[in-house]
Amino acid sequence: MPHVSSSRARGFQPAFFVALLGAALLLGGCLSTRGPRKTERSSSVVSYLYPDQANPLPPTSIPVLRLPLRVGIAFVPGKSDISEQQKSVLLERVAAEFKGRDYIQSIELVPTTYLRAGGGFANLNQVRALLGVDVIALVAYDQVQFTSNNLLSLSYWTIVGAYIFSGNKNDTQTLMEAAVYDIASRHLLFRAPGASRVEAGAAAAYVQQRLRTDSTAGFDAATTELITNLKLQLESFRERVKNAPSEVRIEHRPGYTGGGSLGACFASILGLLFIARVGVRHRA
Amino acid sequence: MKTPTAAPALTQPFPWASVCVIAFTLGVAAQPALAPTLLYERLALLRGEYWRLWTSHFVHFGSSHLFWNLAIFTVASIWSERLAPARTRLLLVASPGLIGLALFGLEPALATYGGLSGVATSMLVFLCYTQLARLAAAPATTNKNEPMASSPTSDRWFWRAVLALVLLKIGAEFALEQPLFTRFAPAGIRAVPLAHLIGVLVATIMHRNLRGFRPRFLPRHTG
Repeated sequence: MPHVSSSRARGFQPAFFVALLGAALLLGGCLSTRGPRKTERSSSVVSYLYPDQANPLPPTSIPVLRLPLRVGIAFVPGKSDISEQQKSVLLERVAAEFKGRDYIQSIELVPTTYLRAGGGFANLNQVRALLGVDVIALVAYDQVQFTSNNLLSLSYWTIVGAYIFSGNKNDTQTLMEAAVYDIASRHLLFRAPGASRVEAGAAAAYVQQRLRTDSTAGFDAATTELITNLKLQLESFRERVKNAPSEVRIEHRPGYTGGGSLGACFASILGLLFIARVGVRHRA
Repeated sequence: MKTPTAAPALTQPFPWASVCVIAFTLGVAAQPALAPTLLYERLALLRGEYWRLWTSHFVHFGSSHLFWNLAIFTVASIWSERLAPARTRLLLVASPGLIGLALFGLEPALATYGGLSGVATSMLVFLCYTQLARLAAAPATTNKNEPMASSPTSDRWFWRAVLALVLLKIGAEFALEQPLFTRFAPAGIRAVPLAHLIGVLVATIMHRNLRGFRPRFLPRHTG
């Protein structure tokens, strides 16, 4: 009767293991010996508005803002675009923060399909006519993702390690900027940036999935900062308009909201008069 | 010669109408859900919601807007009502409606309006007129126990200065097309000097034409 162990021993094929080891080495080498990789997606306000102009002329007319404003908000068309759904979500977040303000009548999310690369102000005027917006917030972005290997990537030689150990280090840097333009006068009214940095590790098998997640997280975080800065810039712009009315003219559309107000200064002057009266009476 | 006897101190009436208006204004501020129903909305007025002509004055666009309007109104209205209760109460009823009606007729671009300043201006101007009239009617020397004693003739400059200040403010607001002494917390809301001007006119008409106004149910010493 043949011994079971001896039959197993006969099944051992060293050539198979050599081949397996070779494959592991090759795969591991593929996964681990690649240097840092870089992915970039970006769009530029300057390239969109002044595609063929090295020295664009500054606008000459004074912007006239008719309150309440009808505002458009759009992503500038870029080379490597993020998905339309993702853009829509981000724009809605920005728009939600500015809805309900008395000086804003409406906020239109302008789909990227309405904008063409290098369309410039001619394209914006088309959007203005189509959607009836006076002012547009152009959102540009620049996202760079780096992937490099760390010591754990040595485990990729075992194949299984490529699924288990986070031998890749991802670094996602995102910069977003909203530039608010008065379309008619072509004036940049104000701008606000937002930036973020997301760092994460991933196993080789999940690097692409992780990069997509990091990209979304990077845009989200940058949008949060963008909204905060946009609010600050908006307040600063309001102060600028009040203090230097020659820079921007404010008009009101027919059908404005009016309020009867006497105000603190008027009440204070009345108060001072009254104090003077009391003083005069006291002396008399 | 008769020695003048000390006149009994005049009992001044409780300014219940002013207190009601103040309470109503504060009530509206405490219940913002009421504002859309009470604001001056031109389209709603055209639909027949005429109460808005009267109620819009009690709706405000912020706490600062409410505070300063109400501060001036409270002083002016209560003081007026204690001096001339009948006419003040009539003015309190008439001026909101007349100001609203004038805005509707003269300012078609005005879509929405709120704020007590028109009525407050009216009360302030009426108080000035009333005080000046009292001073004009007062004898040169007054007894401290007499009602006139509270407003010696030296006060004339004060009431004239207040009147001048109100008129200057309205004139400047018309000329500059922007509020002179105030800024609304929510941007995009314009001051409406026409409301203040109508307030002045209503107070002037009330003072000039209804000097002897005294409803029968009021005691003789009031108003």
